[in-house]
Amino acid sequence: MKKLILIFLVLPLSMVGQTTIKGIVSDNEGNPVPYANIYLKNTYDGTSSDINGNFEFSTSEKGSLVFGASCIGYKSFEQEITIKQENVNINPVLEIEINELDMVVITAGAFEASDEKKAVVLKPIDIVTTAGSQGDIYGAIQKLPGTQIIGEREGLFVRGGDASETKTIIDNLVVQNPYYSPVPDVPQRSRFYPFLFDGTMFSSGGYSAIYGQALSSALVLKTLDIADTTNTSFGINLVGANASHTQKWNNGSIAIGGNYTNTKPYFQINNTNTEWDLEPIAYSGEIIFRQKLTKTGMLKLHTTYDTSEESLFYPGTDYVDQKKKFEQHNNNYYINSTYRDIFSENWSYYLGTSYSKDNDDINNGGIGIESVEEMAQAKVILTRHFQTYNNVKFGGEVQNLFVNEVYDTLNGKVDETYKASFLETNYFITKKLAARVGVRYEHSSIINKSNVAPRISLAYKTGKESQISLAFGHFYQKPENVYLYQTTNLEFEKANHYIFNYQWLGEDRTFRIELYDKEYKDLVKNTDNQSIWLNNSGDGYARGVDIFWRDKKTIPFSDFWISYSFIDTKRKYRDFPVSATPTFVSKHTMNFVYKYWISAITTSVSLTYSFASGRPYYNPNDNIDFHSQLTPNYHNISLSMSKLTSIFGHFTVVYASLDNVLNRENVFGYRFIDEGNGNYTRINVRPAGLRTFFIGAFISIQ
Amino acid sequence: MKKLSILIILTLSLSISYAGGEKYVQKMESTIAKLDTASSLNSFLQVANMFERIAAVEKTEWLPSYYAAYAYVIANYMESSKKKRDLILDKAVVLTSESDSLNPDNVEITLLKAYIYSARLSVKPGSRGREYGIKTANMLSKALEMDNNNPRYYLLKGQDLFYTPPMFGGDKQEAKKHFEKALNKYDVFQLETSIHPNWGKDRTEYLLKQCTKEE
Repeated sequence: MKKLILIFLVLPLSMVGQTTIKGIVSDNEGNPVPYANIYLKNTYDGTSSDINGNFEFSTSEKGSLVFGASCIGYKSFEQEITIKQENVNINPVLEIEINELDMVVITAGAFEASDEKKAVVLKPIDIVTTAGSQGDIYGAIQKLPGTQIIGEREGLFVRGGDASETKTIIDNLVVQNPYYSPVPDVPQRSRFYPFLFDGTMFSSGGYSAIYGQALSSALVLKTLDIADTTNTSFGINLVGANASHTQKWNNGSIAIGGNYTNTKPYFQINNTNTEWDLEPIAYSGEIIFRQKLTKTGMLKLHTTYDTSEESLFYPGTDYVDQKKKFEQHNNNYYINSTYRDIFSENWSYYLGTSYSKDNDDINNGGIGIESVEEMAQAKVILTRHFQTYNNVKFGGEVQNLFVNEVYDTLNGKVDETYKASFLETNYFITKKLAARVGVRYEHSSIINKSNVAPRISLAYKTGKESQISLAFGHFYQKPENVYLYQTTNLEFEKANHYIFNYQWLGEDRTFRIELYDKEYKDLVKNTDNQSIWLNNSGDGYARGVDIFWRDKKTIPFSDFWISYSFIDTKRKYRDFPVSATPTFVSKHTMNFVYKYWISAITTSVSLTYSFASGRPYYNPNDNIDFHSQLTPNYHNISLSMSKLTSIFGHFTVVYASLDNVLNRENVFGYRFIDEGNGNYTRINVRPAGLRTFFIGAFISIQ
Repeated sequence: MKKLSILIILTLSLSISYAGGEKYVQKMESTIAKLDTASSLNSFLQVANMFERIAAVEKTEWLPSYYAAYAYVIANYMESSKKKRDLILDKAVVLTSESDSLNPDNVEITLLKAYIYSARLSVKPGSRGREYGIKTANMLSKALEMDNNNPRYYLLKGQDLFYTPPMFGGDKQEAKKHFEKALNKYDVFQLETSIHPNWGKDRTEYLLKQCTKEE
């Protein structure tokens, strides 16, 4: 009897208010959400939904409670419920969380690189390991679609535009002299090496309203933030040696480095087409400083100084077998400092200033040329953030440019203040449809003209991994300094871009196809009118398609890409007598880059095959239509390897490359020497070297 | 007999109405048992959810969010999609910082942070090797300074040495020594409570076997 009472007492206690809560959890597109966390807030009770989104659990709680459901990739769901005696049926709906990785990205005209979250194309390590790039950013970008293969000059020639139509921008500030000074037929390297940069965005057109003064494209580079560790590194290679020390502390870092370049060993080992008198020698130093001034504010300072000299003999065109001596001394000083921070929950800002001074002292075949180019700029960008990645940016910039060039007895000067302001919004209309709409206003004091340029891009996500993108914009650029010396009664040159792009981004594969049409107007043109040497009556067009396929998956341990560009372009500008294709354009360009990682010997090997169809050239002989003939096709095979190893436990990379493996005598163009009797002798514009070998090593000590 | 019944009733009612404390410990013990027997991606995700529910109730206890984070770290290794792995690790990071704010300068949490860095690296070793290799090593050093007797330090350090390619400082012989030391430390490790972290011995034994296989 007593036992019975006990049982009666125990039973009700265990049966006290067990209510069952069940249902199905699904997302806002109607699909079930498996393995979601289902819970009653402030209790232990709950469960996980099964593979079909079904869930069921019991609770002894009573009264007013908060029921919740959550899952990775979704916004949490919570709802107040009242538990009485009856079972509860509830079907929560979880909203899919917009994740940066899923979002549509404006891609028309843009190759976003090194940023893991977006359309990754090129990381600094990709640049250094791409055969044929010679560890130079521009060398590597030339393996991407939209760029021409130009072996005799520095710069990026993008979609029918010459090198002056592309600007290099570092941390939002234009770099006045990104390459070393030009030397006849010897392409110069960039002043910046790839490992400075965290982000590389190569825009082949249609770029944002934040940048301007480039008719064709912008190479937008973002430097690294605070260094990873304290370390000292040394590098040595066939053209010189460098050393740098980086000190890192809690909220900042400083790196100080020096570089000595002497290309004599390189030119001794490699057969060169250039007749050197003094192989290039250069000294440079740099300081890179980073400091977090507040929890959210970052100050960056970057300053470099370099001095170089070289002299060579190159074939002149005044008479056959003429050798002209070209001597050059150059000093360049560059400093840029930027600060970014947030100043309230929804606002962030950026401030940047830079100053550069470039001095050239040249003697070209007896003619003395001295030039000084000084540029100071300041820029501010304010961003107002709205929920979920929408934002509005606006800001302004000022650039003061002072150029003084003495060419023999002539003197050309440019003294200019350039002002611009811009407004741009990034707006995600839905998770699948994004728009970037911007406008830029510019004024140049030297030509005393203004312009207003609209820039619009749209992107629509057509599938989980694919999207289409459109871009349209007006792009203005003031005439080159060499024309401004002659007259300032000129307008901005203009290009209108229309771009359509389709992109598919698999986990380890990328496919891109882009169609573009650029309409050039108001290009500087020599006139026949003796009293107005120059005006803006030139125009042109550039149309084409760029295709890109990158695959890191199909072939094990391999990463390859194929890029193909087709371009049809003509312009009537400068001294062109008729509308014609410029000499720096190949109708078809193809790059095949292949990289293979041999893990057993921790070595990466790379092969690049580049092809470009013949380029037009100017033939002064009679009865030849202007730019109607083409040079032979260009073929180049390069190999490179880089081995990761350690010396006394320190991270070391040894790299070597062989460019133009087949020793092919490529021809970039022709020059004609007037023999005086109506005949012309033709000489080739050749690459600076044929098969060339390069080797170097780099060690990082921590 | 009457006294006995009253006693029994009181005990029963006490054990039912007493929330937190002992109930918390029991709940933790049973969930930890589920963690020890979990083997598939989904079972780990479910266990993580269970710990998250406990963490939501026990707002002053660091262990529930610690274990939830740990369960997510193990789960991430079973997920094949890189994108999803990063999302799972993001969750682990959030939970670890919640745990950290409840019990700062704790060696187990520091070791868990190192484990997360190591997992991040393994998602994309090519591009993350340098950055996360350094972060993992620094965090492990910090843990070693806090406590040089924690077996999980030797497991994680050994794991790091085992999987890192030799050219980046990996060393299977050194790894083996660390695993052996870890096993010694496991044998003598004194658990503060029955629900304090005690994982890793099986993993250490497995990895040690891998070392000897390779010889």
